[in-house]
Parts: sequence; structure tokens; C-alpha cells
Amino acid sequence: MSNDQTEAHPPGHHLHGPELVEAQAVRAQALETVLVDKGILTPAEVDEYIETWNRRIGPLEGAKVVARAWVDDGFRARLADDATAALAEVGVEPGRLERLEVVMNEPGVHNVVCCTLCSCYPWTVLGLPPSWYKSPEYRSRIVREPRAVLSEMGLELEAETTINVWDSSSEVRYVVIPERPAGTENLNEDELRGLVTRDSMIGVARVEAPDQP
Amino acid sequence: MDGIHDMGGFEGFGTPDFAPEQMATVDQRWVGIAGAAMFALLRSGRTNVDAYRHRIERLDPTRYLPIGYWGRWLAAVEAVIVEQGIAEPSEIEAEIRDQGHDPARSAAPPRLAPPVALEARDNTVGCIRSVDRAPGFAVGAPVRTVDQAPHAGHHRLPRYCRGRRGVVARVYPAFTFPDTMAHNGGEQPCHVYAVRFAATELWGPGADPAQHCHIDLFEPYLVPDHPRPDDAGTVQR
Repeated sequence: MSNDQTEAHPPGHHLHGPELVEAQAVRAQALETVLVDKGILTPAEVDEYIETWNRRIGPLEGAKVVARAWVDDGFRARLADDATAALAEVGVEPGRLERLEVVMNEPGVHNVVCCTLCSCYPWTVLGLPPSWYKSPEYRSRIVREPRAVLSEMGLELEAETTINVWDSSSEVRYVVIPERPAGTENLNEDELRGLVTRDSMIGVARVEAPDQP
Repeated sequence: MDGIHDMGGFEGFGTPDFAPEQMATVDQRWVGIAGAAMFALLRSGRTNVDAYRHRIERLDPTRYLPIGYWGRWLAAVEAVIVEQGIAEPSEIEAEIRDQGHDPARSAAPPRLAPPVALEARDNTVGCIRSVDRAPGFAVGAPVRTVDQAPHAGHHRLPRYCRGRRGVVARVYPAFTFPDTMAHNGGEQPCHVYAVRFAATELWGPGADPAQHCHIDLFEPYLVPDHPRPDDAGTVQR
């Protein structure tokens, strides 16, 4: 087992902070070169990956779903019935997503999404997950004391409000349909889209009405 | 596997580092490499999503936390490269030296023996499968989870819900089974259920009475339970 011991604690094991990031960057560059040499990866694919997740796909996709659900009861019903199929109606590409489920907030019922086992997240609808979603703090505590965690994150819920936590432990992905804020009756679908935040679709925030002029 | 990755309910962590304006981006090229390389390895058939997750779970637990989410992806990419025989560790070290760096100062991924050998497969076919068998449970069915880890390998039954009683809230199609997919055991598709557990069932009588956790569970993790009077009306669609 001495060999295993050596492998479990290789050089660089102690690194932290900026030193660790730099070391990871060096290692990543070496792995890219190796995979390119072996014909498994191209540098263009790395650029494409960065472009896709930095610019092309983000929470705006999910906002299209939410805004339509707020203005169209028929769409809302189809979304509840088969959210994956309903994506096409608002022009959202499912990509690798095979099964999307929506969970709808209503007065007295609040939903929040997590993944305790890794960090599963509806990438094609919300973009990349924020760092806090992937953190041990969120993953460990949101299933055990969600009311406290949400409060720490700025969302105060009434003690009698039911909290439903959804732990994404399969390939099903969840998106929260937040409540439409009061005072937005005169806004159209495009304007409503602009109000919907990523955090409201994870379930750690409400959607706020725009400030009155 | 009862590993560091199974974090639900683990106590002692503080407030998430939550900045509302925090953008989720690939902020450095090495992160993009980790992401693109993982998907390239999937496409090449040299690993699959379940085996990849298991590779991350088998990282040295003392390093799992400090190297972070993308660091884990990168470490698993390297582990797959080496374990699948795509390249020798010496080739990776040579590339690091070619960049003018000392391999001893780079972030080597911890490795645990033995590696899981994996058969190549086509990963472009997704994981939902049509099966002849009807789902074993319907919405509203009372169920109980098995009270032990199903086995020592990869599975998706979190520790915090083992041996607990819940109610089926949603019934999903059959999915390829992570437990076998990660270990060359074939697809063995089975139905998945969102099972609703009261927080008091998971965490004890002092837990928040207005809280429920819904956990996606594969059929082999569940056994029928006796109906309970308090089940009525508790299923949340």
C-alpha cells in the first residue's frame, strides 16, 4: 500500500489560494495539450465552451419560461405537465437536458432547489451555477435549515410559509417559477422577463416589482 | 459510497458566500479547459456521467473541499486520462516542464486505488429509457428508503434520507441506473421518483414542521410502506 499512500499525497497536495489556482492553470494547460495530441479535444472546443457559458446561455433562458408562465395560463398548465416539451414554445434549446421539472411558488408555499451530492443544476435554462450553489455551506445546510439559510441570503419567509426543498439527485432538473410580483399588471411579457433573476429561479430570492417612477 | 460528496445535513458549515451580483462565468481559461475536457472525454466514450461523478467522489476527501468545484472537474479529467490509458502520468509531467514549470509545484490530483476500469460506450444517447415495466409506485404511495448504503460504489441515495418514510410526489420515466453505469454493469434502467419527506422525519421532532425535502430516488432504493393517516393531502404537485 505504500505506493497508494504516495499517490494519495502527491506533490502540490498542500497548495491553497492563488498558488493553488496558478498550479491548477498549469496543470490544465498540460492536460489540454495531452488531449489535443491524442485527438480527443481541440483548442477551439475550449474556446467554444467558454463562449457558450459566458455569453450564449444564461438565466435569460429561464426568464423566458417564467415570464410566459405569468402571462399565459395555458402555457403554465403545459409547463406543469411537461416542462421539457414546453421549452420549445419559448425558444429555449434543451441541449443536454433530458427532463426539466418546474416547481411553482404560490402564496404560502416556497420552493428552493439544490443538489447535495454534487452540484446538479439546470445549465441549459439558467447558465452556469453560481459559486454559492456549489459550496459546501449551501449543499449541506439548505436541506436541513432552509429557512435560516434563505434568511442569511436575504430572503425572509413567514414562519407558516411551507418550504419545499428539491434535491436534484437524479438527471431530472428543477426550475422554480417564482410568484409574479404585485404591481406588474401593466407590464408586458418582454418587460416581465427583465425582472426575473437567476436567484429567483433557484428559489433563494423573490422577484421584485420595478421601482415606481 | 459514503464519501465527502454526500453533504446533505452535514453540520458546521457557515453562511454561503452569497453576493447577489455574483456572476456565474468561466472566469479563467483553465476552468474552460476543465469543462471542455470533461465533455470531450464523455464524447470519446472513455467515461460516462455516472463514472465521472464517481471519480470525483473518490478524490482524496482532504482535497475535495480546498480544490473547489472546477478543481474537482480538473482532477477527475486527469484521473480519467491516466486510468483509461489515454496518457501516462510522465507525459503530463513532461508537458508541465515544457511550460517551464516544476511538476512538484503543480496541483496533482489525489488518486485512490483501485481505479475503475470502464468499457467505452456511446454517451450521445441520453439516459431516459423506455421500459416495458410499469412504475412500481404511484403518486401518493407511501414508501421507505433502504436504510443502508446500497453498496460501496457509486449510488444516488443520500445518507440523510436513508431508512426514512416519505410519499411519492412525482413519478418520472425510467433512467439508466447510476449504480451500474459507473461500474460497467450496464444501463439497467429503472423509474425515478421525487419522494417527499417531512423535515421532522429527516431531522427529528425539533425540525421545522413547515418544511419538506423532495429527493429524486431510483426505484431500487425504495420499498413500499404502510399507508399513514397523515399522508392525506400532503402530496404537493
